[in-house]
Amino acid sequence: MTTPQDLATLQDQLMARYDSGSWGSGFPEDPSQFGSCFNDFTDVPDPADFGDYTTALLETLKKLAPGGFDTSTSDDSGQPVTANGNSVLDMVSTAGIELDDWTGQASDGFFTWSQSWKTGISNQFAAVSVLRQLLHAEAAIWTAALDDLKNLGEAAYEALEAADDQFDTGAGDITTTLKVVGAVVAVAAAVPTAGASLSILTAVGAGVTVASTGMDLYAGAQTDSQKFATCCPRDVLADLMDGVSKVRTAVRDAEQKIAEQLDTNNGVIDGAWSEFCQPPPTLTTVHRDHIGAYEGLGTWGGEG
Amino acid sequence: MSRHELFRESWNEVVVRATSPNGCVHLTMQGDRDVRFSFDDAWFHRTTLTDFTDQLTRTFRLALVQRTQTYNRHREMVTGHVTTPIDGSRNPHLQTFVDKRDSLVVEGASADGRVSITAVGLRRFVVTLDPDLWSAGDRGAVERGLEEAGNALLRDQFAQMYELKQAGH
Amino acid sequence: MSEALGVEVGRVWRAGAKRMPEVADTLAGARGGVESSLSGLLSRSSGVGVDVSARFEELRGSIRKALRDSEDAIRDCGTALVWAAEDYQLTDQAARDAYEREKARVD
Repeated sequence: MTTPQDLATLQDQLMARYDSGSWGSGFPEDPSQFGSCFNDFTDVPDPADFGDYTTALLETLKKLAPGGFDTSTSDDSGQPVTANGNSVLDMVSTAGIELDDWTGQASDGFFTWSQSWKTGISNQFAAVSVLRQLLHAEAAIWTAALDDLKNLGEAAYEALEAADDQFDTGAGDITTTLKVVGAVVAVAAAVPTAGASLSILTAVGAGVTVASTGMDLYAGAQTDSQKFATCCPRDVLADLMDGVSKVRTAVRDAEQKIAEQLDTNNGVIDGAWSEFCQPPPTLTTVHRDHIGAYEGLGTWGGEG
Repeated sequence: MSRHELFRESWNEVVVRATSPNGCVHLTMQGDRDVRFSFDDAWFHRTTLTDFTDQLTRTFRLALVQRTQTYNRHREMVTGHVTTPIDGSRNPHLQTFVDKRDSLVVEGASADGRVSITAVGLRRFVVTLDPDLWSAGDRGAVERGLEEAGNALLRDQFAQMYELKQAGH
Repeated sequence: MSEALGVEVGRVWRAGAKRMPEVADTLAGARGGVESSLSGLLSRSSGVGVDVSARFEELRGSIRKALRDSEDAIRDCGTALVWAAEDYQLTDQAARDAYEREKARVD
């Protein structure tokens, strides 16, 4: 996994290799670009930092799981993760049933509330899953982008060496594959809904092909490449900057898809907040002095 | 040692072989130097000079194709980077380079000047043998003369290509 | 019948004092995964790509608030149920004994 720091080091090496070469008249207009070609990528999200967040979110999912995980949930390396439904959550429903024989207004309301309470939790579970998948998609984009840039830098370095080599004719183009450029094609994994009512909550259509829900881009999405001339540094630099530009465009397009997905999900949640987070039952607003009265728990009707 | 340096060092050990269409001329080349020829003795003594030079030039062309493919494959093996023939259409600079490369005239001659090889863009080859050398029928002397001329041609090719690279096209 | 009433009131107490807090604690634990800001992870100064950190933060904030509000609601329910049980007048000893037994149940 390439880090932004790796790119900073690589562009220093490129600059040093250019400075040590013997180039005749084939030098670029602004050779300093060899040493700054990756500047814009030296403080971008570091793929290595995503794991702490996505692992914590997996724990959140396990705690919230209303019905367990289906097979579409994976860890950061794409391995399926299974989990049983969290039975603790059923205690709310159970408590509601136990109060069913009480006659008060608040106990009636609590019963009704308790029987649908888990739907809100299911929606929250789905939203956490969406958040985690979109973070995976982000990580996948940056993993691919930084790897691509590293490959570009290494290919440029080799092309410079070939250009500086008296026994290389410079008649071959070095080709490197760009993964992230092919990233904007398909869908992320489905969201485990587990009873969620807001089924529109989704990461599907994020426009980023990820391997399962892991952090790597789906390998089949590789669709572009960058050639490097090996005859003079001016052409090497032109090809390098062309490749960097391709990566920049691909990242923007891919992140735009994620941004659209986030807007959709945020809109769904805002528009249906009471389904996402059910309002508390009236039981919680009954005054302490009236809790046992008719407006509160009432009397037990079980004596028949 | 960089990957390119590793490649460059290991390339010196790689041998490229080519054989003429009639199977009577054998050429080997190690690391873009050390050119060696061997001829079928019976064929050498009965063939005409025209047929001989024709088989030679065909062998050069085959050797060049073989050399380029081997060079690119070897580079990929050592550096991990795929190399493809230069695509001049990508920018005008490259097209200029390709055009100049294709019209580059290089030559090499034996030490005694009795054998010379001229190539245009490493596509069209002309081999000239001193008539006395040919009529003497000394296969070993012809092989040595061609080897000297071949090595000189390669040196001239690399020198001129480097000059072309340095000129920035 | 008095004993049955004591059991019922005990169940109300147990729901409020034991079950609701356990659910609330689970939600509090679940909230741990959405407590940390994503801004530092996702932001970049160069303008490369589309800075999605604010949008991610909105989604994270919504989930965090929902989990917090859900937890608060459950805790408030628990408190109300305990109050109700404690306020209930159990007039005979059998009911009071059953009530205490129910409160002391471990499960």
